Amino acid sequence: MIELDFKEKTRRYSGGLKSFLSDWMILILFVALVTICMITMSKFRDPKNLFNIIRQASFIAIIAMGEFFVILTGNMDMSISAIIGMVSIFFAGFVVTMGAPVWLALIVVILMSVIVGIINGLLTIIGKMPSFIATLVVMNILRGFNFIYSGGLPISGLPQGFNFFGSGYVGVVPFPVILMFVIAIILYVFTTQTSLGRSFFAVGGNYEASKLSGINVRFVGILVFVICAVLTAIGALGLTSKTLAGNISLGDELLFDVMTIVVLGGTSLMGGRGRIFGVVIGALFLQVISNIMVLMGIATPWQWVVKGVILVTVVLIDSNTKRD
Amino acid sequence: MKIGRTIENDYLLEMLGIVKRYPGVNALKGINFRVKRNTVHCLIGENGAGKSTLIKILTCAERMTQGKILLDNKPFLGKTVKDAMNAGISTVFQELNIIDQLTVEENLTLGREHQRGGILLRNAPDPSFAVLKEFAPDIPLKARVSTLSFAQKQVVEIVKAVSADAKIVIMDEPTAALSRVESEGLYDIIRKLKANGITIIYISHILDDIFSIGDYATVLRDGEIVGTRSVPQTERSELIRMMIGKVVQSKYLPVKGKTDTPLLRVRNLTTSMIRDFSFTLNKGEILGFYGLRGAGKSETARALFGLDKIISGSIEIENKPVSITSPRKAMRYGIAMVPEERLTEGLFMKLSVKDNIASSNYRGISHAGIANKKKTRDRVEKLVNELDVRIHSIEQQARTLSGGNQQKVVIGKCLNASPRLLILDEPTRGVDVGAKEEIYSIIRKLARENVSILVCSSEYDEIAALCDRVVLIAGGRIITTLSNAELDSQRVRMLTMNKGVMT
Ligand SMILES: Nc1ncnc2c1ncn2[C@@H]1O[C@H](COP(=O)(O)OP(=O)(O)OP(=O)(O)O)[C@@H](O)[C@H]1O
Ligand SMILES: [Mg+2]
Repeated sequence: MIELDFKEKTRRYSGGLKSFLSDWMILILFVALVTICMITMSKFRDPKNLFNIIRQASFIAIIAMGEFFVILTGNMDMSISAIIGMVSIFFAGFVVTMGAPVWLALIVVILMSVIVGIINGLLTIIGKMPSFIATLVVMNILRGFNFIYSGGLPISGLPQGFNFFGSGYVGVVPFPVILMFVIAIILYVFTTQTSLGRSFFAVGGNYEASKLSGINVRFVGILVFVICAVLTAIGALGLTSKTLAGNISLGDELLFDVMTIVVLGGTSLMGGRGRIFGVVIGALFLQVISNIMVLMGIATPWQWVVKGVILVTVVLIDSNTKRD
Repeated sequence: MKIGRTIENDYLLEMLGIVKRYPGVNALKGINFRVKRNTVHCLIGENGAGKSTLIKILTCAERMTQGKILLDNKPFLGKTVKDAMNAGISTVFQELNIIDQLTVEENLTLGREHQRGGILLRNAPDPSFAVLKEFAPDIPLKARVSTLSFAQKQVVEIVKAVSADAKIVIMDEPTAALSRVESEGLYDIIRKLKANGITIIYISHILDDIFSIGDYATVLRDGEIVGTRSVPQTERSELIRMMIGKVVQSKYLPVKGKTDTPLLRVRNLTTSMIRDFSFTLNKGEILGFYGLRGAGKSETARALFGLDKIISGSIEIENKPVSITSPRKAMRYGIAMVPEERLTEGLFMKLSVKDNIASSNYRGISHAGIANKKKTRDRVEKLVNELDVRIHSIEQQARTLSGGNQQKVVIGKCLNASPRLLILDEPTRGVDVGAKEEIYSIIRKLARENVSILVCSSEYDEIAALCDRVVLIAGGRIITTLSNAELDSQRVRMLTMNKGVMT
């Protein structure tokens, strides 16, 4: 009898059905949703539509992978929408107004993002500000700079060739999709196969204990903001390339989507738990839902409502099942 | 360098003139602490004496105000925990320092993963895995730590510390959460470490630990050293006198208040961890639950306090069936609990001692929903004095208290709720010998005032000194109930151990 109890316990350790479901719920739901739509909606199963979904999801997925790292360590980066605006407007400004070569402008805007990430990290980790506030402040300051620099107007006229970034194809596969998967694979290896990667989970799980295990917690804490800013910059460049114009409000509506994706992907808002591929699936999931709503002719305000309901549902499920 | 120095007077570690000041407290007042190579050196003393502080300074978790450290006769100037680790200092800290979200395996290798160029080597064997297998074969490597019990987490931490390639292994109250059998497993590990030439600094309030493995014992009191003794040549009573200035002895004294009117009657209580528990608890009685870790003591407490889901069975209080589905309900029936994991379940670490104690009973000190400041203060001060909590002000944050004093604050919090039934899960874990006796007398006093007490403990002496009746449990089942007069340490150990192994 007792022997049996013991086996029961051991099985519970290795996960069990409940934890399997809570880990993979999003994937199961995603597959179910796609299957249903494939069967019932002819417009949906059109290959062109399917490719469109992945392509549209790809840049936002890249940005969400950045936010994933910050949330993994138990913090939050609210400044991403302003970083998107900054990268977009300054990049276009450098290239169009100042005539800088594209490669140089790329390097400069990425460096600018690194600096913003470091500032976010320093305020949060060294300055001990709640990350929510620190990055909110940075967001507002950046918005100010973006506006001062551009006067609020878009800067159009980026070279045609840059269009490849957001709309090009390699064979039949859109370039952004390749980029998303390459980044996801690199980050997957980084988070699961390296010691630095593991330390993100440790720091998010228990900051004090990580410190006492000899992990450089400050470095890790700041690094996530830098990773987030850089991935956001890459996503922003992709979004900019689609219209070939710099625009300060390019990211204004994305913060909410990014948060939804990260949480949909199974990342714990308390820190310490999450998977890179969960984020990718989260991004695809949200895009499928938007796509269905567009195909069904649902108006944008109603789309916001639906997305809001989805976020609430997922967070509710998450906080009520993952408590061990 | 002197030539011809013998190993006998060779100190591996010397901490000289160590001073540590916290705002408002002088935690260490110029300590000279020397540890001989390849010995087990125990550090003992009252709660708040400064033991953990001294250890934290050595491991660079805290910066010292003044003083110097010599390691191997060379100045040790480390600044970070990593520096200390690299210098060969490995530590089991008093507070659990383990990451719930990672697996056992990941925790064991955290911070020193096997890697090549930053890439983890999969399935690389680590010496710690073998240690774990030997010490606690029931803990699977792949288990997520959040699924382990408190004691199992402690085991993982110990394994992690002892299998690091260290010169000095420091353990701050490692056995506080362990049962007797597990403690003996730890003694074996320590003996092995010593045989391999490693030096051990060992902090504990449990004198059995000291006399089983200690070579030397240094007694700290109020941030100063009282003295150092060779353990085999010292009497127990002398160490106690050095620690608290008097000799205390725990002896069972039947409580007068004990009656035969039942307050609590539990029938066939079953949760996911315990099966068919039936027992009664009379008014003014102290009932003990004794068993190994994982036997079901805490689980019983948790079920009675509405924390674990009750699958079947009934609970009656004063002959009326009650349904306890949440701690809030439990408290309404006059039940209070001192939980096992005081840091996470019992205390608000960032609140003051006053707010912690007051939090359990705002009604008693409020008028029309507004807390009366003076009443709060008086009440808290009275409890703090009764429990002899060593603090410099009741406004001090709970986080800054020594481990034993935190435990007293949790008890104070429960007493403030004026319960009818008080459940104590390991009430004197990490509490010094003197304070332990104080807590016992508080428990006895409550029982005299007709409060019913349920004590869960894995310490035999505690049960024997305190309880009128003892329920022995193993493997989630009740084996038998004995009265205090029937208790016999050999027999009890046999009963609770055998059943745990039998199928
Ligand atoms: N961060 C802090 N701020 C202020 N005071 C502190 C802080 N940490 C510890 N102290 C104080 O320093 C003194 C020594 O505490 P320490 O934790 O070293 O005691 P201890 O001997 O380990 O006791 P125990 O046996 O209860 O664990 C106590 O009075 C404690 O309140
Ligand atoms: Mg201590």
